[in-house]
Amino acid sequence: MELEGKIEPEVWTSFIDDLNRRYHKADSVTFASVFESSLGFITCNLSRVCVPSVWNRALKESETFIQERNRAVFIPNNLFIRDPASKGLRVIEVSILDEFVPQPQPTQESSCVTPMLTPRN
Amino acid sequence: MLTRQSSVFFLTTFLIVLTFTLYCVFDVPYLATKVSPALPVVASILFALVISSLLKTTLTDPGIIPRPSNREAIEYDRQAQTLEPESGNRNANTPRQKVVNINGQAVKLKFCFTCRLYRPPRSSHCSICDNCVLNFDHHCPWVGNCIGLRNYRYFYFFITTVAILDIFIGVCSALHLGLLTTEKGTFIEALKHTPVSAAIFLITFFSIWSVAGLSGFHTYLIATSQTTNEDIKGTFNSKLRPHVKNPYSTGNCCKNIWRALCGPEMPSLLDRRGVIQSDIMVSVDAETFSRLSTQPKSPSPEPPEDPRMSLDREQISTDPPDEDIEVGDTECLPRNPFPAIPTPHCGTDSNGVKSHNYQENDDIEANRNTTISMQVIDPNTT
Repeated sequence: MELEGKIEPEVWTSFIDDLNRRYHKADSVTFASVFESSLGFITCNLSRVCVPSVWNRALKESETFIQERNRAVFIPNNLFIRDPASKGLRVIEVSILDEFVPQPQPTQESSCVTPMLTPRN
Repeated sequence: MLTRQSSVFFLTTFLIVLTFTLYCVFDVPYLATKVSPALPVVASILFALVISSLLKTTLTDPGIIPRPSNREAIEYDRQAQTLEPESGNRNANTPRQKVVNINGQAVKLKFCFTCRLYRPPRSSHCSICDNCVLNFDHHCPWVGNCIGLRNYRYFYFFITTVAILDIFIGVCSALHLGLLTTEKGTFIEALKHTPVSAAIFLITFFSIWSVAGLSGFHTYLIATSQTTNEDIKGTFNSKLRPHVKNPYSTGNCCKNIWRALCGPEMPSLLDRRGVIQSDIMVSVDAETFSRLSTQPKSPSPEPPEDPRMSLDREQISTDPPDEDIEVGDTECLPRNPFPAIPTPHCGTDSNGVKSHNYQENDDIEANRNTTISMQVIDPNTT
């Protein structure tokens, strides 16, 4: 396992279990999902415009969770986890941070200034 | 309407709207006065439900799986190569499979060569739409869209409400003709009075059989928690394969229906409005950075792990490559499944080198090479 040297297996498995639990909860039939479905049926699906759906909330929460875990656990261990939602929930991308680039300089004032047309006297 | 040939969808809409309009114009005035004004109200509500379900079915992404980036596809090729070393007639197109365990049943995941990904369970590739779709049911030309995970319940609502509306309008027009017959005396007189009602009745009569049949069939499918695809192939047919148990079914019909219709709607996995990110900046603090710069470089890239496959993780063991693989601009690469591909590498400057672990944005529209760069946050300056 490539990650063996970098991070404890318990930390990794607990992270994956947590993620799986969140997705499983989002997928299950709860009061919120029933409410969302019936409201959509009654309003001819116009409620989707106004009311955020269960899954969207779950994805946002898991995004903040992954960011927090990245910051607290993974980056100090030279790892970076990419949110699986950005990959279409297919894979979790784990990157080993081993190189750096210096901070990019803030861009200079735009050098190509459009010439102002001054009126001829 | 997300498919290439969507003209049949317009035909469907036209037929439904036409029938309802004819009903409103010719049957409603008579029936509202003679029988009850509630009839057109009920019909209008049903019509609104039909149209909204139809539009929602057509215009909803059925659960298209976004295609992986080149980097991921190369990684899959590499894993397939290392897991099954060269043997016999193995070539780049030999079917690849993974086996996962769902609820005690072993399920094979096939590799889709068009989309270059391992299909999640129950998903399939639709050749008309040219996409892999989650929980692929079938491609419905009448609706002009694939029916998959996200729009199945709207499709089901559509066919059931169309069936109810069909029966309702048919009964109303028959009632109209019947009442006119008693008024005028003979059926022919009534027919001469309103020939359109007979036409409406015929339209509804001929369409009800297929629609009601389809509704009943899909009710059965939902109750047994199968997709049309699985039913046709007989994947969970107890007579064909007695040892295979449906792992997606809870065993209880009502629970299955409940889960299918009242479960949450998954958001679309396609990011249609996203902006391509060229660089992902990961900010680290100075301490981590100093620790990093003293460590030797580790060139092995990480294999992507699938979070949805099973609750116990798969351990894929891969050998570290013998040489430094620098995957540069992967868009230029032909699809070559074998490792050790020397590629042109964009220049590095003296301060830093490009990261070995490239991440690419998964946007379907474009595949751009991105780098992970780390920014050192100096606590003194911030």
